[in-house]
Amino acid sequence: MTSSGNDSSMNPGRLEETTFVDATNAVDELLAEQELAPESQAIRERMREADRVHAMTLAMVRHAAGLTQVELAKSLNVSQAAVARSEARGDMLLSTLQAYLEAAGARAVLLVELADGTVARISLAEASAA
Amino acid sequence: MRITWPTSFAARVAELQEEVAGGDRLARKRLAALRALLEALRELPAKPEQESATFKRVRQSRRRELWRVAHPFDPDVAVRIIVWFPTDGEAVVALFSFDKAKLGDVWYDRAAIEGQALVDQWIRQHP
Repeated sequence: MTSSGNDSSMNPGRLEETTFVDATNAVDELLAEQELAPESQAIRERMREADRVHAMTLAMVRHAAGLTQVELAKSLNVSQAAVARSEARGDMLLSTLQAYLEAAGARAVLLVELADGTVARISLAEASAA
Repeated sequence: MRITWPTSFAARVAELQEEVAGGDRLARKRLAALRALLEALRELPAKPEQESATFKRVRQSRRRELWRVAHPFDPDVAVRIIVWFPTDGEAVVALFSFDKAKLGDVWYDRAAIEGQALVDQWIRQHP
């Protein structure tokens, strides 16, 4: 992570020589510059949209279905603890996700935005079977 | 949220601004993304209570609770900030990365090690 040449990672250099400063004013000055504001705001809007999508957690899907963890676990033939672990997990197998969503009465699909901006719809059942 | 960073970062940001002024298209995209991430950090009312697409814990960092700040996928740039929250009102930026090719689990393994060491250094300076 050393900064050199075109390696654009930035670490602060030698640890023992590193001192920290309050950068709040420097950041505010950067934010006040208008030249990059339109591009930066476009990125911020995409960040907000990503956060809105991320906010729909598995537990929220279950709540929307009016199910408890115990009820969902019964449908999946697993323990309540296993459901709790799935809800807390950052990532999981597509097949596990598909089974969870279907047990919650949701249609399991993936929406994939392609590089050209078009959106593809993929059946999670097909994706997890691949 | 107040933001603290290592002194060398100001110079690095200035270098990036010079590259942008010189017409470097990639530097411009990097600086725009960095600006967006810093704005998100600055606008945080308190330390995140839960993860979001923008703020996620660095799972490789077990000794200190480090967070990474990220923007959505861009085919050209991937800017990341590794940050630690000593209080609800302050963010300590430990690392930046602009290197799209190097982002991945290996990078986060190293970021966790370096980030935790930098947090230790911050704590030594703020007894």
